[in-house]
Parts: sequence; C-alpha cells; structure tokens
Amino acid sequence: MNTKLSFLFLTFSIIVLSGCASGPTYNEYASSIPAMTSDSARIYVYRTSTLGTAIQPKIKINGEVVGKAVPQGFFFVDRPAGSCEISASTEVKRSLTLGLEPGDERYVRLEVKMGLFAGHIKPVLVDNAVGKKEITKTKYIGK
Amino acid sequence: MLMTSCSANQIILQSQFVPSDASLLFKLQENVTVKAANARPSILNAGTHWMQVGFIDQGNVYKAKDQIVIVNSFNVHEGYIVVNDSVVVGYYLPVENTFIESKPTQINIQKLELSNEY
Repeated sequence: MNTKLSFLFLTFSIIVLSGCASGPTYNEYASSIPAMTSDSARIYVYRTSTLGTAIQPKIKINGEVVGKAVPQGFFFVDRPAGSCEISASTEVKRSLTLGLEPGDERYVRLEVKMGLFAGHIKPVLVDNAVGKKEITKTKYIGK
Repeated sequence: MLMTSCSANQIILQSQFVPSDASLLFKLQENVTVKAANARPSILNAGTHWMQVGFIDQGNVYKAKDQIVIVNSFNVHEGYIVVNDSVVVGYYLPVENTFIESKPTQINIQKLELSNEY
C-alpha cells in the first residue's frame, strides 16, 4: 500500500515539476539583468503558482507575444512609455491595462483562475514591494 | 456623457479628463476601502501620497505615488481615484479614459507642500 502511494506521489511530483521553470533563480540572475534606457519602462512578469501546470499560455503585450506563463518562472520586457495591455488567452482572454512612464518598474503576477473547460491565467498588477519579494521565488525563463 | 457599458451593477462612463495645471500633493490620513460593483475592494493605505493629476465630471482625479490601485474584476485595470467633496466616488481608468462608479466613501486627505514632506 505504502509502495503504491509512494509511486503515485512520485509520478504526480514528476508531472508537476516537469512543467515548471528550470532556469537560474531570480537571485542568481539579478546581477545579469541590464539597466534599462532612460526613456523606457520595465515590466517584470512572473508566476509563482504551480497550480494548473499544463496551462501555460503565451503572454502578449499590446498584441505582441513577449513570453509564456511558465509556473515558477519570470521574464521581463522593456517598453516605451504609454498605454499597455498585457493579456493571456486560454478559453478566454484575460487582460491587464496600465500606463507606463519612463523609468517605471512594474510587477505583474500571473494568477491561475478556474475556467469552464480550462484554467485561466489572469495578469494582475501588484505593488513593487510585493512583486520584488514574490519574484525571488521564481526562475528566469528568458523571452 | 455617454454610458458605454453596464454589466450587472458596474457603472462605467466615458470621461473627459482634464489635466491639472499644477500638481498638488496630498497625504492620506486613514485607510479607505473603495468598492465598485463586480470588483474586489481596493484598500488605500493611510500615509500614502496622492497627486491630484486632473479632473473629470465626477470629481478630482488623484494618482497614488507610493501604492498601486487596480480595479480587479474579470480583467484588471490600473486606476486613479476620483474624489468629490471629500468622498471617493469611483475610479478613473487612464488607459480606457473611463470612470467606474464605486460605493461613496468618505476620505481624509491632507494637502502637503511639495518641497516639504515628499
């Protein structure tokens, strides 16, 4: 009985972890992050949750694909000042709208929400203090 | 003024935003909870600083300098708060240029000298 349970747990763990980010941790990678130019703003996008590991939609900014919602992963993009829509689509599109000013640093957490047939990924703008803390639990997944 | 959408009880209106000539800085004296229909409440934290950036028909528009304000419903929108006669009446969404009505809530803000405290 215990052997069966252990096998099931091991199988489940492999399934969950195989879909997670595998790059350097934020703390390992932080020193490699380049400074942004003075006329741009930086958006950090991260997902801490492993819930719904199979759901990894592309993340778009103003319609352009900039990354993917990998569990326990993060990436960043620099954008010029102005209006910005960050979106993720599964069975429906969920989006976040925000304004960017030169020098801004914004943190966007990708939350997993229940859907009718598939989970949804919802981008949520968080306070910088919250984002700076939460992103340390994630790994760099590139662009 | 044109009513553009009204899903359930959330009232969304197109706005004509007029920027302020001079930015005025204020400090929030007490926590305030702002609640719009079909959205999670926003807590505005005591001690945070707010810049009056302009006005719309519904009131003066304030942008937080040290906290994020969002309208968190099915989608998420960054928002500024709209105050009329010391009462928060809603959010102004700068990207969409719209006003979302909230439950009226008293607010206590103190005007600061720009060079003074911030």
